[in-house]
Amino acid sequence: MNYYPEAMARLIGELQKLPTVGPKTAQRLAFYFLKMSVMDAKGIAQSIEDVKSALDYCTRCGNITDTDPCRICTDPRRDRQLICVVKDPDDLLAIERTNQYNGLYHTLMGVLSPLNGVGPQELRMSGLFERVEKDHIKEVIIAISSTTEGQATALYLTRQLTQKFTVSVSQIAHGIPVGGDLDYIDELTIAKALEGRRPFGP
Amino acid sequence: MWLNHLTLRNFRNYTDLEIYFPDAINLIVGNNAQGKTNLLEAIYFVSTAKSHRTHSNRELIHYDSDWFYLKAGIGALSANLSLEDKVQFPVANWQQQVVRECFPVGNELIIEASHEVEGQKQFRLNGDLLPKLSEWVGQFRVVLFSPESLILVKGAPGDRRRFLDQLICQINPLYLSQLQRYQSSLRQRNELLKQIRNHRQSVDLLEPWDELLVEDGILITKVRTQMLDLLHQSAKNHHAQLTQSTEVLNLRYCPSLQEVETTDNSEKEVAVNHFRQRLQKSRSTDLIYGNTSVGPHRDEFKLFIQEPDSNSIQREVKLYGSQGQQRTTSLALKLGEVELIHSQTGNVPVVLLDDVLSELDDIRSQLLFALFQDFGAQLFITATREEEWVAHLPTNFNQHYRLITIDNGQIVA
Ligand SMILES: Nc1ncnc2c1ncn2[C@@H]1O[C@H](COP(=O)(O)OP(=O)(O)OP(=O)(O)O)[C@@H](O)[C@H]1O
Ligand SMILES: [Mg+2]
Ligand SMILES: [Zn+2]
Repeated sequence: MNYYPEAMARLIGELQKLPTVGPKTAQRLAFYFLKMSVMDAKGIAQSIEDVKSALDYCTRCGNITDTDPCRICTDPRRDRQLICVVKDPDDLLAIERTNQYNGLYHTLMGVLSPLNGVGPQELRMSGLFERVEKDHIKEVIIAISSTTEGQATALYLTRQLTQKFTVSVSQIAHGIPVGGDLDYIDELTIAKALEGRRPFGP
Repeated sequence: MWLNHLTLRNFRNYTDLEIYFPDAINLIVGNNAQGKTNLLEAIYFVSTAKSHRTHSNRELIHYDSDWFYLKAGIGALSANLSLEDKVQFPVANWQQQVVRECFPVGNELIIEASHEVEGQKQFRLNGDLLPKLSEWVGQFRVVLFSPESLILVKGAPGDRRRFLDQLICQINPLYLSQLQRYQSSLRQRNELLKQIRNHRQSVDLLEPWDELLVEDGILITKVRTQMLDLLHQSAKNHHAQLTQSTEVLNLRYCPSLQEVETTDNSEKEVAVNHFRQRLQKSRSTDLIYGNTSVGPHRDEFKLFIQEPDSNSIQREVKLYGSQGQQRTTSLALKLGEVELIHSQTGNVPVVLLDDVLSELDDIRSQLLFALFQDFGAQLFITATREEEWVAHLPTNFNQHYRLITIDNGQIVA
């Protein structure tokens, strides 16, 4: 990389921190930035900065928000005794877009995966248990994709919730293809899956 | 199935080759180390997404390149041609009819596979990128006979398990995702066992992974039970023909769990409880070794032969069989593979025979070719010289074959 001027080499290095961007793509993008007008380039830099300074995660549900708690958590028209548990804000948005769901959310910020060193402590599980207890939640819907990690997380959560609280727990029925990620699936499938949710267990 | 044409770029010692295969029997000849096996390997790769002789895709890339590319045009061999049709038409005509009937121009399946040194394998079906291997496997079905087929008999339990799994995948591609799910849960559980042993996680985290193993493991055991039953019947018949009924071959499934024959609810429940209990029981030793000791990943099947008299003793071929008996047994398994793919999918697989002519005595090669005539499969056979092939032909074998001569990664005739 040392055939590049220092600034260029640094940009290429930074870009490689992005997911799915390898050395070759990083180089291509860097040259693209170089050719851009100053205004366009500043626009990109500015909007990245804005996102970081203006947005944060909701301390209650984990959604991305510019106010804390977020607009969903404070919306008085929503069913405040129903929580839908999702993997991350992407999945939350996928469900919001269906307009079929009228409860609150809780994002875990990941799924259990011993191989990636993710245990319950690394996820926002205790926050969920607190909310279920304090806010007298009646029903929890688990909407985590049907990968093995997702399924293990759902099973674990269900067991924990039903042991600790008197709350009804259900999982969205998977009209969702095996190994599928929620945010890739069209809205109709999710809407159907939400309707067809079934209680966990035998 | 019919391989209409194949393109190889920077694959092994082929830099750029495009070749058409209108004929049913393709005899690939050439001196040692000219690329005969490499050509079969390319066909095998297009079918299974892997090589039959290496795990490293890197080795497949030409020394002077950093990528390879393969493209194949596939047609389906029509299943509704009956045996009578075959007898009526001289073979050459019959094939042309098949060619016309089955792959109208522009209506074939195009499979492309590519690999870059610093990248992942990519597969395209009719131009569309396939993200999942399970969508790929089973599109183009191939059976390979090679000297290494002997490991089906002589090899470790895992070799036979992989053979069975691969056979099932060719027939039912969904099985592959099932298997991948199981293996993914297994790796996670094994890692978790180690973390628990080192007091980094609590033991109640095992439960969800156990549940997933049980759920997928039971399905796997069930599918394997069914397929092994079919394979047993078929291999047994072929073995009887190969030995002219002087010996009887038996396959015995040795599952780590109980066999699961139906998904009848009550039986499934029994199986579920059985697997759960076994996992429970082995938990403390599993925790010590950081490894899961029960489940379908420990399955195997064993091969026995006995004399036709049903009271005679069954002896395991792996331990007691002669070289010849072991070869015949692996041949019977492979023929079973061809027959099952045919009967379960309606497609006759393309058959690759690498270096096997020299291994078969006369009667077996006669039977082998007679069987292929029955199946009507497209054949790719390697030999160092044409005479080697001719010497092994049955006297009444008068089918047309195409000679493809290979020299240093190029077709010279
Ligand atoms: N990645 C590669 N790039 C270039 N050449 C390769 C590569 N891998 C193998 N080869 C060459 O291919 C040749 C071997 O080809 P192959 O195994 O097809 O031989 P063969 O014709 O089947 O011979 P035999 O009759 O001995 O079985 C060797 O000369 C080897 O150097
Ligand atoms: Mg060879
Ligand atoms: Zn919120």
